[in-house]
Amino acid sequence: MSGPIPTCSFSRLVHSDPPGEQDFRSDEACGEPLPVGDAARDRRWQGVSVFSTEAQARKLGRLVPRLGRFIAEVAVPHEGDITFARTGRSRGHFTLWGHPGELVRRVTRVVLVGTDDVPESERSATDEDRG
Amino acid sequence: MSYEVWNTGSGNLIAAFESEVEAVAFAEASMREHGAAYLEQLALVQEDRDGRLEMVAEGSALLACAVARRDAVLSGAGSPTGATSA
Repeated sequence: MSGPIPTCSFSRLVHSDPPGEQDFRSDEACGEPLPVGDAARDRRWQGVSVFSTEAQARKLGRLVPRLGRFIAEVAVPHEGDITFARTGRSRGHFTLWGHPGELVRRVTRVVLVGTDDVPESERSATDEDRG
Repeated sequence: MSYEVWNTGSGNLIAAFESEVEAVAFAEASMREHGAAYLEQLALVQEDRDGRLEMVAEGSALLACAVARRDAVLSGAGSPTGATSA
């Protein structure tokens, strides 16, 4: 007997609603040069950035509007073609590795980043931040 | 405190550091390796221990930081720093 496949939810800043494959491309797929430095950057260069919560993505999206007007929620099965790992130093940042088309198919929800002032509850680490 | 360099074109994190000095050294090395135009699409963001984010520099401002560091190194006022990335 098999139950529902466990998934992990992530949030990514994207430019369009609904998002397309162009919103889920790694730096490698975008034709960006390999960053100078170490092997960790090489691996991250092949993946896409996401956050473990919508609030974390929203905070960055409000600070850097060029990253995207929308937040896409992506449900990633624990087992499958998409892999992920905790990367970087900021709270809740992960890298996903998978085909852009497969990542788009996993989008479950899209919301606006919004332009209002960030509520105090979203500024501190005491909110729903994870990771 | 952490310092992260984002590619605003791709929407991906490309490097992370413990200090601003290391991050600016990375920007300067990137400028040398990939050219000034590459830095125009980068943003350097600081996160404090409470999870608060602040923009350190992006685009032309980050380029200006990298140029200033390069000039300081060339003039002997500074020296390249070993980067500690994550």
